[in-house]
Amino acid sequence: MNIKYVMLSVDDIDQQIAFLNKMDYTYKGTVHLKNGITGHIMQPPVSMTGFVLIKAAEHQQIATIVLDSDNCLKDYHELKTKGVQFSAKPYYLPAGLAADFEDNNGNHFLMIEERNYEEED
Amino acid sequence: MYSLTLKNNNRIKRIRTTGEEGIKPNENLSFHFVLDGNEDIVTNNYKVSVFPDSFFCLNPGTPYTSVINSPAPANVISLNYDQQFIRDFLAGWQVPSRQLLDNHTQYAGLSNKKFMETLYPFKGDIKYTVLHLDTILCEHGVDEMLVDEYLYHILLNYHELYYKEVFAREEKLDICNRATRNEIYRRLNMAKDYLYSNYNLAITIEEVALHACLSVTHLRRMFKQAYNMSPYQFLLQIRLRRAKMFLRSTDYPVNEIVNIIGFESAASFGRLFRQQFAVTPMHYRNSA
Repeated sequence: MNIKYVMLSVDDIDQQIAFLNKMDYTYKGTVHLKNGITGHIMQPPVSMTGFVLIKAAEHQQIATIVLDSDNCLKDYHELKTKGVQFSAKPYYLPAGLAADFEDNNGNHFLMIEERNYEEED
Repeated sequence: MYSLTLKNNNRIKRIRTTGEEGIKPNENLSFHFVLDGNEDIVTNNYKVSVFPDSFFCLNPGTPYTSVINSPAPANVISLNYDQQFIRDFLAGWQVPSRQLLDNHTQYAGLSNKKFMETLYPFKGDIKYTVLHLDTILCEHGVDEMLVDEYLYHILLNYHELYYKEVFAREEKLDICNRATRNEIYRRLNMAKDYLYSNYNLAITIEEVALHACLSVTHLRRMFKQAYNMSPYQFLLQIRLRRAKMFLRSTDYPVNEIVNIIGFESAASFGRLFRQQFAVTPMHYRNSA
């Protein structure tokens, strides 16, 4: 698993996009997260970790680490077997299958297996 | 290849096979997926051909015969669910709120009825889950708890798909009486299965209507309501999608694929393929 995105909670989305544009990050679009939260994806110029921006008022946590999984159920099962406590069973988002957990310090990890539903045949 | 009976009596089998197998009893809900080649499933005088773009569901108590007609062996995955596993699944399963909001009260009653024995599209989440399970069993061996997790999600994915492919489409039919609507939709599925199973033959609308026990006019009108396209357009879609499959997974010349999928003219195939996918068949093959 790689860290795919770090979620940033910001007051002004547009300002943050403009800031990240200066670092050659490009706006990729939105992603619909749990509880009706909309994230704005900023793609890095090369194969690096990207950012998902969310409005500060919508989410109280400082940061969420988004892990990239190529098989969410397998990773969920392996981590669970090792004692990681998940907040719920894996669930489906418009972008794919996800599961989330916290570490002992309350940091939030969202593991997501992105699925291409456009490629259907 | 594998063949497993888990402690909870769920059974999973992947075989590479050819020829015909005798009539098999089927005590439990089962699903048939074909990874390559095709499998004919015959149940109570009803025959469908399962290709890699679709799968078939059999209710408990439906005996069936499996026939592999393709010259090469077919890779077939079959899942057989123990009834207690299904009961446990349904006890913990919640109807997604979206479906409840759509007022599909019959969706909530799914546990009490039999599923429609028809071909379903093998795509989206159910495809991801089945292929992941297959990879796990081929490469990592059996961890029953993990396998159960996949089997649970396959049921979950199937219920979602059932909503889209059965309830939502049936609701689109402009028929007030529910029993009549059910029956007409069942017949439309027979037409759809016939198109899927005989896609490469020169079939006529009269033949499809006869198979579905509907008049040609009625079939055209109802089919369009349920699938947003005519039976002929539906058939073209199947042929084009399967052409993609052959382009991707074989080295057959394009002209041979044109013949296999039942097109008479390579030129019209090329034009329709370009219209549909915005790429020529050769470019698609090279980029696949």
